[in-house]
Amino acid sequence: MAETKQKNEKHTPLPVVIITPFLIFAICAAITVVLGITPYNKFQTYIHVSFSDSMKNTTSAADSITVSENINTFESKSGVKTSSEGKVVIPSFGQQYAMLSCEAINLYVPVYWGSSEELLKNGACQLTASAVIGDKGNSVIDAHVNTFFADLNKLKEGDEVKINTSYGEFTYKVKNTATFEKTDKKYISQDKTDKLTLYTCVKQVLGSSTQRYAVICEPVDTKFYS
Amino acid sequence: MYKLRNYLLCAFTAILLFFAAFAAEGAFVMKKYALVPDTYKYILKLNGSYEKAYNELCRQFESEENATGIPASVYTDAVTEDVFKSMIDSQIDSAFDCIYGNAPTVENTSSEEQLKVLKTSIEKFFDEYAKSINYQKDEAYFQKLDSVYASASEKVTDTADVYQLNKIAKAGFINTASKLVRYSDKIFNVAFGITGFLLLVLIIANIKGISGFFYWMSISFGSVSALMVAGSIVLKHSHYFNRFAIKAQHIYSSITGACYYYTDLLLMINAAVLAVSVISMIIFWVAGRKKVSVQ
Repeated sequence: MAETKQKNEKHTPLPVVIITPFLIFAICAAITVVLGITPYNKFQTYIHVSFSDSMKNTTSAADSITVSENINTFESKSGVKTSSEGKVVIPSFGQQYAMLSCEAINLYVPVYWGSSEELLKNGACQLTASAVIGDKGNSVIDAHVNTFFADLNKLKEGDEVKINTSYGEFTYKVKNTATFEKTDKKYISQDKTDKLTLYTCVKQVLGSSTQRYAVICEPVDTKFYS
Repeated sequence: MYKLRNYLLCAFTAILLFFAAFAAEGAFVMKKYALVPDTYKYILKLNGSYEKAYNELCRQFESEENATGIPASVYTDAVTEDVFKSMIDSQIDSAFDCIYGNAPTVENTSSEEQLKVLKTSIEKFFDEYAKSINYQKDEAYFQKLDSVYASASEKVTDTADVYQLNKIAKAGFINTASKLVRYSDKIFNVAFGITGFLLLVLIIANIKGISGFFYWMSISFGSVSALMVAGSIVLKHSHYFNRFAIKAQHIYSSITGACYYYTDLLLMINAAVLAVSVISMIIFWVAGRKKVSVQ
């Protein structure tokens, strides 16, 4: 009896004992990976839905800006012949004819020819009585202090301002700043000096400010496209 | 020829035990950590997210100072770091109130009370400013005051929502969490119940050679823990969660902090389960494998 019992007792083959854990692990891991695809996709959707707005780099000042979809960035044209003299193109009223940029204050704004409330919502506006960018005289550009020109007063002497147009690229350097009454036309009128004047209201918490703040820039590099 | 039938039964039970143990772990983490608001407050504390969120708030007010002319101190003297921290905690509590069905929305119900100091500070500034320029308080004055307060309070509540709970609520994820909460106790009990039942099946199947029970239990628990430990280590060392493109630093640190917290938690739990599995396998080999699968 004991012998029969002993005969019936057999070892589990060693390879089976060793392989079984790996086999079961492989089966379970495969099933888990397949079942885990849906929760993983849901997690990714959660991240996208929750934080896709955070991925847009907006500032509080930018919240009130209406961004036009048809902005021309007038990217610098490499490989094109340029010269220091050339012809300007007179834009029509309301036309976005330039891009103004200034790395010092992280400014990048479209410039419209002419000034109106509607245009000031979309970017900076150039006075039609001032010189077209690249032409002789004072080019005067203004924008609202609570939107595009919020950081204008942070510009210091020597900071570079660039303006790109369809007919050339123009670089200016800040020469000086000034604060004046809105009735004082001295800084925004024409004179014999070639310069760029950027100006905006002096910020006021209540009511509208009677003062203006201007940054006067002198040209340092002029490149007309041939 | 060894009893194939018993071997297959044990193998099948071991596979089921793998998923039962997996579910039990998940249910445990969900009930004891994921559905507890204190966990998320602890994660924020661990990652310094309270300070980061407050610094972000201050930065927003400072950058706006140029545009509005209102000094940042008008806001930051009222909304101090402690006040802001309590707002963040209230937001989390409100969200969990909604998840547990005690509130209709995730919106911070105590924010108005907490922002009273901010309103007082803004009113005081406007009053003093108007007096300094001899401005007569007219309708425009009060409209401006209201709009400044509305903008500031929105900024504070948005920044305090470090886990973006309002956004995920709009996407319907809070509703899903509410449904999960309703069944969390049942899920917990069922998962552990099934695990216990399957362990009992293994004991009965190996009653004539109890070391076999340790062998099969070790396979199941070892598989679960090996998968989770390997996965956690890969996630940690590849800094997987650092890839999230979330530009707001305080939100980024909160979310990635939570992800890494749960990764570490699962790593610890599964390291313990792996230890149990290894000990079980040692018991099996020491006790002698002769008795496995042989009846």
